[in-house]
Amino acid sequence: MSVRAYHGSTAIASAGMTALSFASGRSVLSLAVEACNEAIAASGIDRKDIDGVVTFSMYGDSVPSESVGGALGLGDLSYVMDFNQGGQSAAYMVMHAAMAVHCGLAKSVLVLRALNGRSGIRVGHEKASGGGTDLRYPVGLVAYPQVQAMWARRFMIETGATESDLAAAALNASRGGAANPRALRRKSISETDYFASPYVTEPFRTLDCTIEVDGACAVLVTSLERARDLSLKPVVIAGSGWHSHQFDLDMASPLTYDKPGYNYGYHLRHRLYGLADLKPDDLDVASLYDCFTGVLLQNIEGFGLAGPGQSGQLLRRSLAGEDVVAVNPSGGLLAEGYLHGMNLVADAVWQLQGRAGPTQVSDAETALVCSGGCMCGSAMIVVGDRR
Amino acid sequence: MAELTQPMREAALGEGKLLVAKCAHCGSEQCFAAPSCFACGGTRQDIAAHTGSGTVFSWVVNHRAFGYEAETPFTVLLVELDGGGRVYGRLLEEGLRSELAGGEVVTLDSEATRIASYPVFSLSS
Repeated sequence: MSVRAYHGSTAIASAGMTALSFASGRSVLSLAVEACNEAIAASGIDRKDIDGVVTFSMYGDSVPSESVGGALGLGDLSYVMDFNQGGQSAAYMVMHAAMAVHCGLAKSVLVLRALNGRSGIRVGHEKASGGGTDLRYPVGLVAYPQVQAMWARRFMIETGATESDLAAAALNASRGGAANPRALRRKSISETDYFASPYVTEPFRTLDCTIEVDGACAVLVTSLERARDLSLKPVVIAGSGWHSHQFDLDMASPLTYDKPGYNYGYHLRHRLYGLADLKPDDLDVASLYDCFTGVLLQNIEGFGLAGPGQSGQLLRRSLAGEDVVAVNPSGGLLAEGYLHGMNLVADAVWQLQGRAGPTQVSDAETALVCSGGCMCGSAMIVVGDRR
Repeated sequence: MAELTQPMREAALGEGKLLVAKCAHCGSEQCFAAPSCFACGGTRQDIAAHTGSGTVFSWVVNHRAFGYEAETPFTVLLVELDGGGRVYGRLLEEGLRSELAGGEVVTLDSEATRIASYPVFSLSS
């Protein structure tokens, strides 16, 4: 079955992002408006030509897409979406915007994530619906890092990955964060520093976990044809997909999943690379969801950038200066902060537009973006417009 | 037709028993409250007390846990029961946690489970 559809004919025209902080002192709507206005200004689009807004949230931590449209003075809207699925959403929301454009439901769509994730509703402190917490809470498994640590441990059992591989993921994030002015973790660390970092929930230490932040990020999605009339080089959506494999009660609940060593990326990647007509070796940049180091390693292997148990080695080769795919060159969620993956979309856009500043990967033309971990998530391959 | 509910599950734990629902269609076993089998969607389940025997599928050691500060550090297991269902539980022998590698045979400790009202497993020697 071909799902060519919007692939190759839709594009991301621009990205915008607020500063990240632990206490913005502002409303979520204010953050949303700033990020969107930055994307609008960067693209040069007339805001009256934007007729769609797509956003996502977790535990009701954001603002309605329609109110963002209102606050931006967009005028009448013909497509909105408010999706409540947290980290698996970012690439999926870009897909939805592209679908809306392709189907003629909208001409240009802002896709955003906005939250006071540190000073407001903290995802790490909220109770998921679905029944999984009825099983986890009584035994003391009460926060998301603990649930993800359970996956990471199983991944290590199945693939032979070690805590040194988790360390490589933390060091890779540290390298990006040290060079990235947006990052909230900017300290350069050594493997010794990593192993001196206290355990939160074994096998995770403090440096294995992202940091909850306040902030917002937005991208503008439109047709490739319209994007070519705007200010910046279009970033073409060449392939994309969402996949859920053996979901049970809530996100990251491992009660029925067959092999946690092979996450959703493993089940999605053949479709994804096929649509883009690319191979993992063709990628210049991999902007991979990394709420935890274990999730990053699983995404590297899930999307075929390294074989089972080899993700840590790939990162060590990168850290040694070898010419391999640049994984999260800006430090990812681990160093920059937890905007639920929307910042990973923005960074891929900036990389392909040559606007990534001190973390720019030279001649970046192809990027993989993924959103999510464990059993469900979305991903897309984006390429620079070769017109 | 029967459905394993959370109140049924909790009541059994209070008696030191772990209930499992076996699908009448495909034979898959699951150990959580649900109206149907997640392997095939079948809605006919046979509910019975499990022997409590299984292996360590995964585990974590919590050094921080909101509401459980007085108990840290403690080990949480994800046990794959004989028959294939998975269940969370605590480990009776805290001192042995660093030696785990996955795959260890464990057995439900009925008395510790009854007192705790959640599954507590002991490493089989």
